[in-house]
Order: sequence, then C-alpha cells, then structure tokens
Amino acid sequence: MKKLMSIFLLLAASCVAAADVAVVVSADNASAVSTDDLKRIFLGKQKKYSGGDSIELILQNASNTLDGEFNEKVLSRSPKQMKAYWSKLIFTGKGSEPKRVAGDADVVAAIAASPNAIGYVEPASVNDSVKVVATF
Amino acid sequence: MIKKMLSLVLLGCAIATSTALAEIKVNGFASFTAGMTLDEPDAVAAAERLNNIYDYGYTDELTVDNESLFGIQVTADLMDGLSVTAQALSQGVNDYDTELFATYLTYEVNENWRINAGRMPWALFQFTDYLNVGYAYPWISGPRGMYGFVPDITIDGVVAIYNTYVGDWDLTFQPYTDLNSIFGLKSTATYDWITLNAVFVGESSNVFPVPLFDAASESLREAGFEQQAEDVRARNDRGRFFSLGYNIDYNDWIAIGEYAQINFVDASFYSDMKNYFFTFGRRVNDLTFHVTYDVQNEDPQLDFKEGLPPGQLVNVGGNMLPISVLEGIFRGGSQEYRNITLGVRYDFHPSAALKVDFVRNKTDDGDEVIGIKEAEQDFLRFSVQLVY
Repeated sequence: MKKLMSIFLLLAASCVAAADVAVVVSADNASAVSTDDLKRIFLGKQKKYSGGDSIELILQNASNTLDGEFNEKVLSRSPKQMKAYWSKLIFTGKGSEPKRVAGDADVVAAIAASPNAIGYVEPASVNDSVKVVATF
Repeated sequence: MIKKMLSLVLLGCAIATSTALAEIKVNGFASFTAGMTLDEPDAVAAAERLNNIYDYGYTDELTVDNESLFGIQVTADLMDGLSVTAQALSQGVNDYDTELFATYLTYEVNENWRINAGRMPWALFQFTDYLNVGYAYPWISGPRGMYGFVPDITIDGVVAIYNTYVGDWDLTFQPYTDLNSIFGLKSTATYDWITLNAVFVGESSNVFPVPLFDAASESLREAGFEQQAEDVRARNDRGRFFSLGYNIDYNDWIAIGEYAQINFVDASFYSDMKNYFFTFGRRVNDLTFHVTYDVQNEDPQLDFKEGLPPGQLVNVGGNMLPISVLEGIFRGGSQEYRNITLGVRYDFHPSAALKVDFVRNKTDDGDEVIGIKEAEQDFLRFSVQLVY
C-alpha cells in the first residue's frame, strides 16, 4: 500500500511539473517556434517568426500567478526583475512594454483575433482556436 | 506637492485623451526619498565647504524634498512603426515644478533598427539614461562618485539603436549625435546573466568656456609662450568620455561595476577625471543587501607650466601675479571623493521597493589654501521607489 501510495505521489508530482504553463499561438500560425526562440521572443529581442511575420506579444498582468510562473520557468527571472527589465527599456527609449491582459480567456481571445500573436495560458484554457508550441 | 503631482497626472490624461485615435501607453516612476547627515552641525558646516554637490543637499535634519521625484511617460503609437513619446518630470529640488524632460519620435525601421529623434535621456554612462528610475537598480540613486557630476541629462539629436545577436550573446549598438558637436557610441553585450557596456563619447565644441582665463592666456601669449597660452585658454576645448561597465545577476548574487575616464584635450582648467565604482549584492527572497565603493578622482592638468620660468607673471583677474597663483586656482578644482554605501532593498510589492542606504563620504582636497585636507560625512537615506 505504501509503495502504491508513493508511486501515485510520484505520478501526481510529475504531472504537475509537466504542464503548468502552455505557450500558445494561433491555430493558423504555421511558424516553427523553438524553446530557445521563446526566451528571446518574450524578452522582446526576437520580433519576427521564422517565416518573417511580426510577433505580437501578449503578456498576462504582472500580478497574475501564471505570469510569475512563466517568468521563472521560461525566462529564469522573477516578476520584479522583469518589471525592472521592461522599465529600463521603456524609460530609455529602447523599447516598449508589450500588451498585458487580465487572464487566460483574454489571451486566447487576443490570439484568436490576431494570427501573429503569442502568449501563455494554463493548459486547461487551451481551445481549438490556439495551438500549443511548448509547455513548461 | 500633491497638487503639483496631480497636475502632472492630469497632463498625462490630457495627452492620452487628445490623441484618442492612436494607441496610448502610460508608464511612470516615482521616488519618495528622505535623508539626513549623521554628523554634528559643526562638522557638517566644515565638510560643506568641500562637498558641494556630493552631499545630496542634506543637513542634520531629516529632509524629504532633495531627491524625491515623480515622472510620467506617455507614448502614442502612430502605426507603421512610428510613435511619439513625452516624459514629464517633477523633482523636489525644483519645488515639484513639472518640466517636459524628454520628447522624441521613434521609428522602428525593422527588427534590428530603431531610430529616436528629439530630446532623449542621454546614454553617457552605464546608468545615465535611467538614473531617475530608481526601481531599476539596487541603490537609492546612482553611485555618487560615478554619477554625481552627470545627473539626469538629455541630448537633443538623433539616436540609432541596432540590436542583433551572435550565438547566445545579444548585442546592442547605440550611436548618437546632437548633429553639432557630440558623437557617441554605447555598445552593450548581454549573455543571460551578464551585461557588458562600453561607451565612448567625443565632444568637440565650445562646451565649457571660462572667460576668466582669456586674460591669463593673452598675457602668456604676449610674453611669447604660445603653447602655454593655448593650454590655459578655456575655449573651444574638446572633451572625451569613455566608460566600461558590467552588470551581473547570477543565482541571486549581484555584481555591478564601472570605470570611466573623462579627458579634456587642449584644456588645463578642467580636471581630467577617473571615476569608478563596484557593487556587490546578495538577494535573499524579497531583500537585496548590497555594498558599494565609489570614487571620483580629479587630476589637475598643469601642462601649461612646462617651459615657463617659475616666477613668470600672468594676468589673473586684472593683476599681474606669479604663475603659482594660477596653478593654485587650477589645483583648487581637484578633489577626490570616496563613498562607501551599505544598503538594503526590500521588494514589498510587485512594482515598488523600499530602500535604506547608509553612505560614508570622504573628501580629500588637493588644495592646501582652503586648509581642510580631508572631510568625512555620513548620510542615512530612505526611499520608496516604484514604477507603473
């Protein structure tokens, strides 16, 4: 029984670790996006898909738990480090902060409306209008 | 103060609504800083004679207005890569009067190139173009020895920003000019946890004319010392600024440093400067502990003495005086400032931080005329800094 319990716990833990944040693009977006690309894309450094289309970033509000999780897992930075990062770009005139929305539903809606948008949601929020390119 | 800040917010809203057709972004930053010296009033008075701009304007009573500031930035996206940005700033030292700090047009040419034209924050050294945004760095303000003599400054002209990457390194080249006399290039290389900066600025113009030395120069020329006359003359002089910096943030360890050299060519009155600072820090959850050592070292240029007889007379303020008097004036501007800062930053909110900095300033005066060779002063400062 104890053994069974530990296997169950192990499974549960691996499920949690496997897919908490899903990076999504429009279902019509045919561009290949690698994990290496994602870091550059979400730091605003890569602005075009491999096919040449302009990337439209959709971030979630910095107070959302998912935003923190995405920053830690994909960008290896805390939300406050990201806040400082964008501030530096905004106030020096080197860049502008991407659009931020309230939650998963808004991300999915924004991506459904714009074929070049990319964002992140909880896996449970994924529907037919979007395509998962990576999970973390 | 509140009234003036309110008017600043209203200004932001007015800009936002008047351009309702374009997409508008409003961002801002603020620092509410209080500070005081920890010395007895007498010691303060003595040190003040030496310290001038390096004492933050503090006395032995807690003061809130010297470093507090409030900024708002509005960007209107005009489509097709074109946008307009205006940044308004109100500072406690100016009685919170709102000034338009920067206004510029941005054109994103393509993925790599971005051109800004207008009045922009000037990327002179590593932190110069965001010194007002305290939230973005660990200290309450930029290290004094490095940034004390160049506060938040702007440049009127054109800045091109070129982004590219080689392997895992992101590279940014930022050439800029005021279309007249200033040419600069800031280069940045970033690899995940480390950023390296190099800046070179050449300035050739009538930047800092000092008419006082025209007569001195003329009297040397009349005495037949052509080269020495030119050294003394403080007109049409060229400045050269050069800096190397690094910024490391690795596994919650922080190391930031910069070395800068400022040289004036063909000019004796302006001291050459060597400024540098080192910061080490450690982040523990929401707290960041840091220690900084910074130095501003001024080196008087006394080239003009070469080839002159020791008793040579020179016109100083209308009187023919020995050359040693002129030398004394030139030496008078040369001081060395050293600061040690112990600080802690507490990120109590996703976009706001509370900071406490203890600063010990030491000043060595190269001029024996004043009589004080060294002065020491301690400061305690508190700040709440935020961005939105």
